[in-house]
Amino acid sequence: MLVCHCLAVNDREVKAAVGQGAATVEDVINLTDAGALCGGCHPSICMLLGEHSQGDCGGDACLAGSRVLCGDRSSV
Amino acid sequence: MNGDPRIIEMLNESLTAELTAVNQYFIASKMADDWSYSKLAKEYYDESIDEMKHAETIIDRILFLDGVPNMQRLFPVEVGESLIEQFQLNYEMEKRAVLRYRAGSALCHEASDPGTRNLLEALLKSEEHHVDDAEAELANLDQIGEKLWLAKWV
Ligand SMILES: [Fe+2]
Ligand SMILES: [Fe+2]
Repeated sequence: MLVCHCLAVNDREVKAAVGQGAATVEDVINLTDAGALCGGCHPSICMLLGEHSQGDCGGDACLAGSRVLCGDRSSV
Repeated sequence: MNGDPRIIEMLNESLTAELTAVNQYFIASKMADDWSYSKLAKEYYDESIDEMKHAETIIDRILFLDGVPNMQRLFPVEVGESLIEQFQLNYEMEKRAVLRYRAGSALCHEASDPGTRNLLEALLKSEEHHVDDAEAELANLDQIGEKLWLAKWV
């Protein structure tokens, strides 16, 4: 699945970065470039960080404490 | 007419999902066409238009309830990198739509808004139909295998 549409980075590349210890959206940007431009995929990155996440995606939804828009589909 | 803010918020979240579905089916259609699976491209094209009609009914309802339709928000548009991955991602999206409309219908009951509830139930029926079609296809894929399944969409 294509995660970052701006720079064409897929979920496997993001998961590999998580495997290398990425714990925030910033880490994923540094390791893969995913999320470096428009930021629209930050919620998807946030979801792929899953339990490894030590931050939030910086998006409105995360800041408002809502996981719904941040890709956590368990409540939708 | 002034609507319950919870109903307007739920309708806006549904609108976000419908607008996301419009885009997700549209890109799946264009990519399937590019890979020469023109039959599946046509199906996705029609689904994309269906989702746009769903968006339209929700927008009309939000305006009727004196809310502001949020046209600039999308959920992640999940673009698969193969025909089968796209099919599965679209199926997952449809299942989320069904759960969302079931929950929305329950909220309408709680907020005594049968008008919105009727509208959501019509949408729910359409999404259940999408899910049903997708499940039949995935069962078919399982039975005939990837190559034959892909061949029928060329
Ligand atoms: Fe829909
Ligand atoms: Fe649908």
